[in-house]
Amino acid sequence: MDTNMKTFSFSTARKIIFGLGAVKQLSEELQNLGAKNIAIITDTVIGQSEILDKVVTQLREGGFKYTVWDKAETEPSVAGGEAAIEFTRKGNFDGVIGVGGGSVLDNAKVSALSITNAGTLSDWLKKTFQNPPAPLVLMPTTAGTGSEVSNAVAFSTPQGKAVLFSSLMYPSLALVDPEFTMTTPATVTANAGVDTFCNGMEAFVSLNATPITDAFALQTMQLVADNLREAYACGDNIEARKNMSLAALLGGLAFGTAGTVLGHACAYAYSYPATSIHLPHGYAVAITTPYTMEYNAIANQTKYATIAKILGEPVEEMSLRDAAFQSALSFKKLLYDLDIPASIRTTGVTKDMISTIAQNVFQSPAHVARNPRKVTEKGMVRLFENAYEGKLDCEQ
Amino acid sequence: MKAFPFATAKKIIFGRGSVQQLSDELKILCSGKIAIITDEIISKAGPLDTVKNVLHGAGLEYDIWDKSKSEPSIESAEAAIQFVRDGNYSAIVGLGGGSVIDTAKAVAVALTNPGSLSDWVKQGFTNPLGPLVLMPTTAGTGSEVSNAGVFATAESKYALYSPLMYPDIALVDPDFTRLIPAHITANTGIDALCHALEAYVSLKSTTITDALALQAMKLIPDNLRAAYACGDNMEARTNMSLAALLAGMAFGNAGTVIGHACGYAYVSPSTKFHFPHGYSIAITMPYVLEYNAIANMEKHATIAALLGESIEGLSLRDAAISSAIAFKKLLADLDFPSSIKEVGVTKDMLPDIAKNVFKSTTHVARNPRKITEEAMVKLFEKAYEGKLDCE
Repeated sequence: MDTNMKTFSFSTARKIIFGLGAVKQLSEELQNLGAKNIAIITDTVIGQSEILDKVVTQLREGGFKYTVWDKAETEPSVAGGEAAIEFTRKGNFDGVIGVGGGSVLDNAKVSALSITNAGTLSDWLKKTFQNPPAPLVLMPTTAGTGSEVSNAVAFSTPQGKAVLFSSLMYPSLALVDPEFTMTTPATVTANAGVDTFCNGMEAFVSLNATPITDAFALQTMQLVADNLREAYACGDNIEARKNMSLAALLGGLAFGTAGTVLGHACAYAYSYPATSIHLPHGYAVAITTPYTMEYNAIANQTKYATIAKILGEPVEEMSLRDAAFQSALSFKKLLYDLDIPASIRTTGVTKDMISTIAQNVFQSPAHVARNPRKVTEKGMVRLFENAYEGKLDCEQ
Repeated sequence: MKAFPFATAKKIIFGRGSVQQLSDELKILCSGKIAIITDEIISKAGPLDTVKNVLHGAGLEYDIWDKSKSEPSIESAEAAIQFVRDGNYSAIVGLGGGSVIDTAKAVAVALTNPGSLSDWVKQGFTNPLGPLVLMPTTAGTGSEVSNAGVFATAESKYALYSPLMYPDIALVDPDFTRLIPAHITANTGIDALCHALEAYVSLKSTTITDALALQAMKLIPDNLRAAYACGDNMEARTNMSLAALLAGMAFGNAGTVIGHACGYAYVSPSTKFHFPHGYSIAITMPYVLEYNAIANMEKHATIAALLGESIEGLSLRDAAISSAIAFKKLLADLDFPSSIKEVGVTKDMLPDIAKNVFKSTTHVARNPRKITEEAMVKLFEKAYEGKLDCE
């Protein structure tokens, strides 16, 4: 290992509980956290599901006061976040539970912040908050975002995505019950699952990667490679679901500290005013990733060869360079099996949008700065042209 | 797979020179006088001077208590607690090996809880700790990221565990380990390896702890030999510090198994032994690996491969058992004795030592293979002769 290894730091949720039926530990954990009057943040789909019943049963049996707010939007706007804050402040709550996908969990994070901090979400995006959040329990219902163990939230604005980071924003408890993912529809399973892989992979190749995040990232990729196809093919496969939930959690542990790189910057680049394209997060990441992998491969051939191997390619016989490029081909096979198109043409992107989308990549400067290969506008135009044609350079 | 929890220090900072970040972190955690808990050896050596300079430079006030004992007794920790209660401190910094770190944890409990250490060992405590920064000066115990403290009495060892006992910050600066003598480098380094491999085979291991344990086991075999052979090799030292940290995160959640139970078993009124912690576990470990191998052959074969054995072409069973041989080679390279008879254990002590294993009930319960008294007697007989069955 590199002698000049830089100083690094690592943090995560104060406590993580993972496993089938883990929801049964909720009431005891809330007691330990000292919360009595709880805001449950969720969305209308979860709000009408058995999942919420299970959570509410825990609170009722534990003798807690609670109120449900089920108005979280998908890919939430700043205005949506402000609405969650307004609800929270009116209710005099002393704890928050988030139950849902990444968007819900992001709303729950700002809700918990609003109990202990003055100001609004727009204020915090300009000048960060000072106090740690109120007791906060995050319970994901998709196996994807890893947001339950990260210290970031993303909200959309008319100009693009606004991201709020803080070392204070880790939740008190990430409670991951894979049973909650059993009813996730196949397309969402595929999108969220690919997002998980990319969280792990981008953390692995990030310039901010550390030996701790590498350990988590490697496990994440292996679990997705071994389980996502099965979870997509048959959502009742509880073993595959459980492993995907675990992968999402481990991916969160990795990218929560190492960050994601160009793949995420490219995905964010579609949703800007000039395109008026709004793709689900995981999907946007997935369709561009073969091309970002091909672009990045020469910057860290050893790590990309490892990725190819994890994806099941027989790399032993190949040169390091070919093995590294094989990772992009292999990822394309995964997309094919999950019925995700590997060309952005199918999403409504037209040729004349490409130069704008390429420029938009630079609106995510932190992702670009962590990317293992320097990012140029010319390089990005080429990348999106390949993504448009659905053809990798190495597929000649 | 049952529901499992995972927790660690609230924040981990690792790297050469990371001590420079101490003052900024303390300013976030507290606004008053700081108590530094350490021992006499550290207080005469470089690490304490470095810490003092950083605190001075930032205008932070502090006092030093340097009377921590190795393998600390409950009385010695109570003395540290008294020191802190007599002053008016707002944060605790523990600077030293595992014993100092454990003492610092007990002291941070005292900042926010009434009672004494003996009370807490019996009944636990209720309030979260006062602000606590732990800075290891050896690469071994991983105690900086665990929620346990071990304290000795004349009869036995007592562990204080609590989900509240994780520190605010584990600050690991490998430069602190530069001057550690070779034999302590060996004892502490092999302790880290035992943490990793016991956490890996523990019945409480999870995918999260496996990821950490595997990474630790990858780092240790080559780097420990290199750090022992030449203590100035800062690359090897840095990798050993990192491995100890990763192993600490793993065993802090998965626990250790009968390797540790056997290590503790030597210490009893009947034997009057007081072996250093890493040492007593290491010399028994080959026999523990041979005993446990059949309970999880895949994991033991992986251990063998990571310890450098060439397992290709071997059956899974033979590969698993070869983990014991690989560990013995490492002990030989680090100049450990090859049998417990060389360190004063006599044959008549073996039945007592074998019985003592069962005092560590939680370690025994987590062990991948069920244990019997008869099996333990046989294990210690092999350790006495210094000969594995597979040799």
